[in-house]
Amino acid sequence: MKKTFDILWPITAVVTIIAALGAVFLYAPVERTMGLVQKIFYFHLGSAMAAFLAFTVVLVASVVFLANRSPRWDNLAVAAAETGVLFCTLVLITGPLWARPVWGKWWVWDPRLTTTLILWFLYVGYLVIRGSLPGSKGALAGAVFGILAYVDVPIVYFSIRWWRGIHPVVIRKGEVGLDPRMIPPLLISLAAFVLLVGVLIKERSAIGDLEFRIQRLEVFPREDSHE
Amino acid sequence: MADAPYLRAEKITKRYGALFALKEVDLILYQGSSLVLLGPNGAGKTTLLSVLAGRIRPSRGKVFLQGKALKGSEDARMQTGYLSHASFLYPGLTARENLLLYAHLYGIRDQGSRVQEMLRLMGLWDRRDDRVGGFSRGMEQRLAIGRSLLHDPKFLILDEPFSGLDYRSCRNLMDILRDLRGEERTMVISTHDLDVAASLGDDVAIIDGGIIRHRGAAEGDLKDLYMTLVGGDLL
Amino acid sequence: MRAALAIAKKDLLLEMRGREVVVILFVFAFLVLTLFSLSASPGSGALSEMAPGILWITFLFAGVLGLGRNFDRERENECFQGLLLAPCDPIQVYWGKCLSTLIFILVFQALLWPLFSLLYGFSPLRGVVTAWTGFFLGDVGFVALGVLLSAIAIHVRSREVVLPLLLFPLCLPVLLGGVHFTTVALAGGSLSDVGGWVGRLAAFDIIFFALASILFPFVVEE
Repeated sequence: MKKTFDILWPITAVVTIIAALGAVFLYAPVERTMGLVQKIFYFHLGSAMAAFLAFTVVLVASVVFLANRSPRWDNLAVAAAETGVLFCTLVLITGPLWARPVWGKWWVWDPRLTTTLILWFLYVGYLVIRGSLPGSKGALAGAVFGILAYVDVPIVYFSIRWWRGIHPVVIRKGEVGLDPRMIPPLLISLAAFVLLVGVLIKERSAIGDLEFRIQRLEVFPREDSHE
Repeated sequence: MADAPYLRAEKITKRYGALFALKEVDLILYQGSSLVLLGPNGAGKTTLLSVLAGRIRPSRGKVFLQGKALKGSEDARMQTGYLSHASFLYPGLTARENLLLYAHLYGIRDQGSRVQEMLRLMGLWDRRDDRVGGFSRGMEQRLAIGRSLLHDPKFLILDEPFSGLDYRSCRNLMDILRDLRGEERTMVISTHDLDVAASLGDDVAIIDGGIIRHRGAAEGDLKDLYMTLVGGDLL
Repeated sequence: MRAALAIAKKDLLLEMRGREVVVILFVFAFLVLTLFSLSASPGSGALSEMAPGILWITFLFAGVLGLGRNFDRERENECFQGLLLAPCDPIQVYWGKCLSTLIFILVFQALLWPLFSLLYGFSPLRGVVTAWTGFFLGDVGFVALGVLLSAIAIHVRSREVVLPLLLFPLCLPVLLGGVHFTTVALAGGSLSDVGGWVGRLAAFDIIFFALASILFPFVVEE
């Protein structure tokens, strides 16, 4: 049963990705003013959703790890953090790629983009502290920081929004009118990214678990492989 | 002895990443006994003592002090005195200030007189207002012993207390330890020094590679036994 | 509570004994302030606009150095372990260090403020209640997170860099809030002009102080 699930998930992800690509490029209409560039939006939003999910997994895994100290939950947290940083980087790349042709600027200090940048710093920091401390100390440090970072992000977002309220944004982020035909491709893209991030976290986490088991077997060779 | 052991450590394992410092170590100590722990560098002596002191949480296994689990027990920490190579003394504070701080943290009544008593006992009374940063290693060690005894612990853990001490300070320390043994305290002392090992405790345990290889009475020629168990291939 | 106060007192005593280094720290902060100010284009109004920001970034750097010193003292002779080995609740160590670091930073700010007012040509009494409410609220948040993170990083080799890397993003709301308080103060406004930021910074402080108090015991167990 588990094996079927293990194979089905990546396959579903691949299928959904192909469907999403098809929907985005063949089905969705080309936006009037921005042209083809607008299609980055599907990937931008998808990546943002993926990063958000990944970091939520980090939070949950961190809390559970503090409760039960099981290395599997620590591996999950690290896997999710790495994946989250990956997708967060994609958000930070696709954002400016869109902004440049559309607004003429690579970067704007608006609340959403700035918070994403801080988010990136925070979880890169997570990986740094995780890597700087050995074994269980690193795991504890990571879990604590993972919780702090997650709680901090909405506060950072609102702080920047209120801050910018005092210093109004020069460039207005115009509301992108969504043609109803853009919605199905958007939903399929989001689904594709959600499945993709899940697969990546799962696989990375499995690698971490395997590493851990190898280390244990080196020392306790007669230990039963079922924990 | 038919009564329950004072300390019971069961299957203590401590893992640091891929390295196992302790592998399923079992240990039993009876009240008033003293155990000498021998072993080469990296054998796991310090790790084991740290676990017994409640400093380090084992990856697996449990420690019981007088039947109660060590984990999170304030009572256990109140009963335990710990001395390691690190003195836990602030170089910027004077001898008296250091002891007063610990007296405060351990909730000792009548701190002033207890600290004075301890300083006199350790022969540091005339240096009481000097900063620890200026002390010699021997003096610092004596003050550290004073610190660990301040709250009159029933259980003493000493991690290589002789390291770095000159001959005179060593003899002083041995006298102090002898007195402590006479007072029915339970002690674990780790040392490199095979010559004094036999006179330090009732029992000896030899640890290597995170495993206790031998446990027995502290008599006879320990050196041969040690070399057999621990092996000779150094350098 | 008693243990926390004893630890705070010990920290401050050691800080006083190491006064020479505090002076150097102060001169360094002054230097940073000067360099920032010089680098703003001369003659433009930009300098006075940027002044609060410059001040607060200086505070952040000085705060990190102060935390570094505080925990360096704990690293010598493994004193931090000694504190944690005591029968009192480990949280007392956290609270004690928060208190001593808070006092340290407030004193530091008190020394820097007149200098700052001199450099930017205003009276140090201008908006003093507003500015100092901002300093206090900002400091509490900074200290709550800073002490926790310093305990995490105490044995990390590149901790002088890792600590700011972790702390600064978390403290961004403190920076923004603090700058706002100072800006309002310099413009002659009062606390009511600061608006919702009083509540926001206070909320930040409460949330993170509580969260850090819960998480600290996990950080210090081995």
